[in-house]
Amino acid sequence: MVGAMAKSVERTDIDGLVQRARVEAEALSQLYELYYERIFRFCVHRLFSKEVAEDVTSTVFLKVAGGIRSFGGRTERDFRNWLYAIAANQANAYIRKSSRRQRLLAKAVRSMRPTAATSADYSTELDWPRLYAAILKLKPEHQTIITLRFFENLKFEQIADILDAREATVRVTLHRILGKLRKHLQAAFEGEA
Amino acid sequence: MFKNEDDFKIIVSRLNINDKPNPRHRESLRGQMLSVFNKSGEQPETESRPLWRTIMKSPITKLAAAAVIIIAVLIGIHQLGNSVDVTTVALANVVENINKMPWMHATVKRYQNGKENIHQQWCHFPSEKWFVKGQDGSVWCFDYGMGQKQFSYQPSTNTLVVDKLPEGGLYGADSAYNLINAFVQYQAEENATITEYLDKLNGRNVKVFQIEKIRPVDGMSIGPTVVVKTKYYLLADIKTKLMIAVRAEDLNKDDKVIRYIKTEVTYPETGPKDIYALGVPRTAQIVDTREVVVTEAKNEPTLVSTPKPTAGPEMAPLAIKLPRPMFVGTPQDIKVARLEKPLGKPRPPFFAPVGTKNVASGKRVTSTDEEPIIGEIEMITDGDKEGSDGSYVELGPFKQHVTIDLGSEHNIYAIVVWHFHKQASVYFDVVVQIANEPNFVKPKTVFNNDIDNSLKFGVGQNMHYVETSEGKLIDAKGTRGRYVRLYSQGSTQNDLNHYIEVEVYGKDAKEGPISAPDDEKRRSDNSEVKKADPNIPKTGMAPLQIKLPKPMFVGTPLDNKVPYLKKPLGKPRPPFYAPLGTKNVAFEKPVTCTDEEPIFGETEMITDGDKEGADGSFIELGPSPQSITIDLEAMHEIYAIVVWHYHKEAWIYFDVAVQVADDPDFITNVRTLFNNDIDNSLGQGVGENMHYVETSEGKLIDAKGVCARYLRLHSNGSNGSDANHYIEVEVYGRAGK
Repeated sequence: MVGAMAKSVERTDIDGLVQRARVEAEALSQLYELYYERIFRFCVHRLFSKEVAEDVTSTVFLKVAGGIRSFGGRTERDFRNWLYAIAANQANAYIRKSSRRQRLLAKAVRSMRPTAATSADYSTELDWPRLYAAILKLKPEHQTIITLRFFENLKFEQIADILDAREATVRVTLHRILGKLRKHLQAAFEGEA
Repeated sequence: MFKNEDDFKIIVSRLNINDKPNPRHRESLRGQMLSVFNKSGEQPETESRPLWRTIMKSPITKLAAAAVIIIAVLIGIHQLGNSVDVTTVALANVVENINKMPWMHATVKRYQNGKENIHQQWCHFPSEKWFVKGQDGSVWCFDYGMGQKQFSYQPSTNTLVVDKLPEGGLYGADSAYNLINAFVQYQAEENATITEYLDKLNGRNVKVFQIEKIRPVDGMSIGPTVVVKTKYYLLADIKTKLMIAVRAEDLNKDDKVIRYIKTEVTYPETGPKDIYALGVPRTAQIVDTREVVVTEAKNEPTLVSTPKPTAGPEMAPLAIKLPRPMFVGTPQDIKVARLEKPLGKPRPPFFAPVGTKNVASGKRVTSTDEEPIIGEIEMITDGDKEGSDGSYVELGPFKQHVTIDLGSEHNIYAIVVWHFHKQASVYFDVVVQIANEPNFVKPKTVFNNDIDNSLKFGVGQNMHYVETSEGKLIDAKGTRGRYVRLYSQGSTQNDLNHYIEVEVYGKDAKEGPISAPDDEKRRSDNSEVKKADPNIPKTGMAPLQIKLPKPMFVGTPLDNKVPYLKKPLGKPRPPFYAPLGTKNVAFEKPVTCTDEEPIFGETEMITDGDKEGADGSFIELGPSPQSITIDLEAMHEIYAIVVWHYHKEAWIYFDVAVQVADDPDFITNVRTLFNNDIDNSLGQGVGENMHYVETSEGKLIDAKGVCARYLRLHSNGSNGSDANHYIEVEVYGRAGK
């Protein structure tokens, strides 16, 4: 009971922070502390490269700083949805630029090349570069769903909020995305075999 | 390999990803962020950002705003003659959210002089169409998009009038924009502040924007009653931030409501496919009052083409709406062999037979690159020809092609192609072909600038050309065909291939009065009953054992005014006899479909044996004609086909055609077993079978022992939805000889 109350108070505090962040730099700074790492991690998972992730994370928070005064949300949930939506859009915009996409892909593919020390069952093990190369073949919006669900461990309801979609739509879409991902990986494995 | 979501979670949890942030970046970014925040405080964003600034941001928002204004303001304020000042960020957010929805539906109730009148409105933002259905069955459709025309149907005369959009007024051609201007003017006039408060509507938490306006002494009168006050309420759902209701009330001096308009708004996934879906009978007499089929939109389009011929059919210049020119700056020195010299002036008009229009609009496109790098294949026929980012599709390098399926055979007079006009580039090996079969067995080439035969179609006689906002117009000389294929192989800019838009100007090859089969002929569609007569001797025959799902439909069926509708039997279907050993040979056989991204479900569901009408048992394919193909994996003698489209509702699917063939492309030995396409919209000919209502029994089609390996089923939406559905298809047969 006490724990639940504490949690409730904590949530109310963050809601208060969100409301104060429109006018107080200190409140915005505290929100930044709470969310910087999450957004950075999200960007790493979406963009593979830490350097690129830093650039995109910077863009996200500078956009937040420029827009927080007119931000209409009142709760932490509103803020989180807004933040992730900006991050997803920025990451997608980055990936949509074909040259950048190809650079990312090339980097992932380079990292996939087997080394002499590679184990015999290399073709059946999944590593991050190989998985990322497969994820990158999906539509940017689908990549976002994969990242939010499996790397950020968000619930379907939260993903639906961020993407402004229905929860059922996200569930069905994810089911299809996994099917496509499976095909891409299968093709990659067979190509290497 | 992972099997399901949980497997995948485990894989991800085992990955070794270095995602630890750099503390230096974190600190540096904090400083930059706070600096931006402080600067934004020096010029504070106004809390009362004018709504029109939000509205004017994009054309789509304009239309959404127009929808709101039509309902919330014009029906309220304009018609009741009021003016307000609406400046609130929250209300602007509501308007913004509406533009994310594909459809908006409004039930509008008007009350005056003790009488209430109700009509329905549907707005489809992507195609810019507005449908209205009156209480008396009258129907209007205002097509502000590609069609630029209006339809109006009056049940009293059973006449459907096709006309140009009105110049002005509530639904005028420019209304979407005029309304915004009007709205901007309203806010500049006499002030009235909106009150915001929270309330509940039908159990939903809503924010109410209330506008109260006191009428001047010499204000409006309704008969002998003077209106002294008007109140407007706009109710927005707090959770979705969408407008869900609007009310306008005129009050007399005793504060009594003497007139009101109440509008309830929903945002359905789908809406009426066309006016027929709103109950206009297909037998309605069509009167087209327009002089020219394709009209020119104000200010924007430029007429283009070749000199008008002096003989032959009546000709008119094509009205091709051109996008804004995008390329600015000095073109790079393009050194390409056989390069066409730019005209240096607008292209002259191109003449084609009267009635020629862009028949590729919204049509299905396929491509050799199934995973475009940027954009979606559908963008090629979506009508958006702008050169900006977000309007084009980028296909991979080397030789690529796209194919447009016009849906039926057309006489094609011109093809206009916009590859990418943001830069002055030249695309290589541009070849354009027309064919009647999807795999282009016998194509007719109408353009070829492949100078070294790298595509193996022969050396082309056409010249290279520089991309411009005018697009490349190719004279197709009336070539007949259903499919148009365009090849390219990179450009002077890079190895990739781009398409912004392709327009195909033509006329349906079978255009003219379509003689739909008469009722008598259609009544031959009783094959299952004939075959099922238990009194017929049946040596070596046995009744098919068709396991039926639970009946799902309850309630009142739609008011079915579908022509050629088969009368329900009113009792269970009698047994159907087939040779001994006949069984469902489609069970778990591979299925493909024309919709690569079904809205719900997977194609495997069609032959998985699950015939229940419950959610999760059906596949939903997109709108417009779609087909599925079942590969029986060997030749079979087929005796019956049973189709369950969707029996949760008593819907009637249109243009249902069932064909069998010996090859997957349906080229050889194609036989049509069932066809109820009354207007040849599938291009497979006018069918002789009747429409039927979906039930849990499925539709049984007598295949008469036809021998085939592949089965294709077409449909084109239903009277309940423009999407296409399949729960199950069973094919009763036995191994062929």
